Amino acid sequence: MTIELVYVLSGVIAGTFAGLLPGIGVLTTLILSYPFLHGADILQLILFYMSLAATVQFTGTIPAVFAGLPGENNSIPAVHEGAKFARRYRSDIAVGVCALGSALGALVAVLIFMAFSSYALPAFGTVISTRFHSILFLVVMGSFLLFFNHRRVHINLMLITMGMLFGMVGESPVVETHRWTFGIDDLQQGFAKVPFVSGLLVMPILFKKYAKFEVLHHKIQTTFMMPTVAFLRNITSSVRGSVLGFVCGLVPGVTTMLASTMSHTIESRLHPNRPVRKIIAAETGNNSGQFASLLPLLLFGIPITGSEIFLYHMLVDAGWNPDQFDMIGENVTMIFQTVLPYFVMVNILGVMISWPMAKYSMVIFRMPYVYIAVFVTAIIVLANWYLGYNQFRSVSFLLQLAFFSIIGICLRKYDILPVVAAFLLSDKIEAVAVREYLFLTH
Amino acid sequence: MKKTLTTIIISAILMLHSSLGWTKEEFTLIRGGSDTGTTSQRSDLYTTALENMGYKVNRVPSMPNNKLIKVFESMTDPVIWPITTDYGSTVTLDFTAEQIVALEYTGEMYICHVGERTNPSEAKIGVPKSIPMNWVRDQLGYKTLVPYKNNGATRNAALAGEVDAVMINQKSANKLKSAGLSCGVVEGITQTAFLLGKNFKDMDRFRKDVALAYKGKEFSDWQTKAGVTNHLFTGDPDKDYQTARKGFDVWAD
Repeated sequence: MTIELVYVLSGVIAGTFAGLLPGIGVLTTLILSYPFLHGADILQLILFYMSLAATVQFTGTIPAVFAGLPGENNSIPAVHEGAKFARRYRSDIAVGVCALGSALGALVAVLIFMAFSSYALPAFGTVISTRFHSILFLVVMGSFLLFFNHRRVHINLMLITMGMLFGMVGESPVVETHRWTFGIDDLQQGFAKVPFVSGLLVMPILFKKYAKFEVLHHKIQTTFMMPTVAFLRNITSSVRGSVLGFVCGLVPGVTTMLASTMSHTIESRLHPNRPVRKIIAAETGNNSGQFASLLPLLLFGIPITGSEIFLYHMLVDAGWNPDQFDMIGENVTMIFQTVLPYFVMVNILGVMISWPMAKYSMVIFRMPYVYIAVFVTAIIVLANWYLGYNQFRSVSFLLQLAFFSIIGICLRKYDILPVVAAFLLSDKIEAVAVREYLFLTH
Repeated sequence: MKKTLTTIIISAILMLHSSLGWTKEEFTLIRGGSDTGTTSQRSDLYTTALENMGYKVNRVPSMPNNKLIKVFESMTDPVIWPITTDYGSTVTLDFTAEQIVALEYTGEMYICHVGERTNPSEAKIGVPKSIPMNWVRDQLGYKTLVPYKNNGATRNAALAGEVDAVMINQKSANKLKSAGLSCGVVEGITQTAFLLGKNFKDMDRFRKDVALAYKGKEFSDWQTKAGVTNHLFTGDPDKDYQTARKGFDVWAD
């Protein structure tokens, strides 16, 4: 219980930084936290991730409203609407209604899940078949193909192919053999996840964001009465955003981003001149969507976001057998008994951090970004060295980090998530494809 | 007085000899697999049991199989490596009779039938990818082998009804039996766990200590829970080596 609480609180702290720093989202923070999570068990990892991902949805609003910087991609509607509050010097109202809306969004998502788990989940049976996996992977990869890089399918196809090819180096998922190792013993284990993801994804982000960051000089204030009244007057937008966000949160690849954008778009149609309703709907939607996006992984062992795919591998490394997780009834019990109580706690903490403590959180914006970039780079290098050292592969990890950083920087104008997703899922996709082929031909 | 003094001196010498004789060695335990898997659990058992006997155990983090072999081969200090015969499907390893510490347990392999198609030439059989597929084709006559990641995934394929039969280990077979499927033992292949070791000053004595550990409560309880037995263990390194080698070679097929 105590140790689990430590992981939850660590996730909240990590999520606070992840939400505040532009570009340092859930996936990047998970990679940076990897060395500290070494030795954690399955439940502890799930709790850490849940706390991290839930907190980000709260804290991502703070820089979006106060500084016009999206902490997470799904904070873009908050940046847009937050600017309207800032022009009237009422950012305090925006932050307050977002915090309350986020909490309500999480609550509504839990209620929807409770209803869903009672009636719909038994229909899935007790075991997930290859066909079910095939359909889900098609949907997941299809979303990466269709929704990224301004919907340029050919670019996404090229990136997915690249990720699959990198992922296929090393051990085959269907026979006990090694391939494409080019005579290098170390490649028998394939490219390692951490240098691949941190090199390809994180290093270019640091490179890109550096020029856009501005040190914050003006004073930050928070109030309580006016935001509370404003929220209660517009609570219908929050409820609408919650329901819509939950549904959108289940769409692979785009989850919370779609949740906040869709909620914002619908509210813009219904109330075009009410920024308070629009910002509440968007921020409520992404919190609800965040909880929904966790469900496919926790229930079926199917990750649907980049960070969940990485978490999935961390869970497997910690001894998780996704096939044992296919007992849906047990998974529902696990969610209700273990994850939900902490989820409620994290949401209470999230409200406190993103509202009364928002002005203290913004202190990070008073230091030059170069310090943050150097700090994050140092952690990435140390994390890779440490993880490599534990596997007797420290030199290999650092070389891989350098190699994939160069590729990542070369590809920095593209959204690289399709490569990462394809790389991390390549063995499962290949195994499912081979089995489907055998079923169809025999 | 003289007699008393002589007695004390002899007693002291005996005690010193005895205590020197019982000073146990320090050794390294290496392993593969996940941090919570079967090999990890076995490593915990070895650590606890042998530390209770006075040994000092240095454990290093889990490492991939090809690294394990290199580390084991290059070690010049005492080292042990808990291993199973199914490693034969992934690595080439030339261990010797001298390196066999003991056979730890043996588990049978089972075929469980799901549907009505039981003829091996027609049935689709689900197998963990580590299974020696050529052996299954040649010895059992199955033509269509559908590979799964491990025994758990193969068991679920049977429960999902997407294959006609599955070949799995004892633990998974027990679960399928309780789900109402009929399962039978496969002759000619077993999953045998054993312990490799080298560089001990007195290997025979270390073997005896390990054999003693197997009789302890922790090992016995664990084996009972896993549904495995240690009926092939003889304590004779040459005979145990033959058993391990044969099992390893079947899986390497």
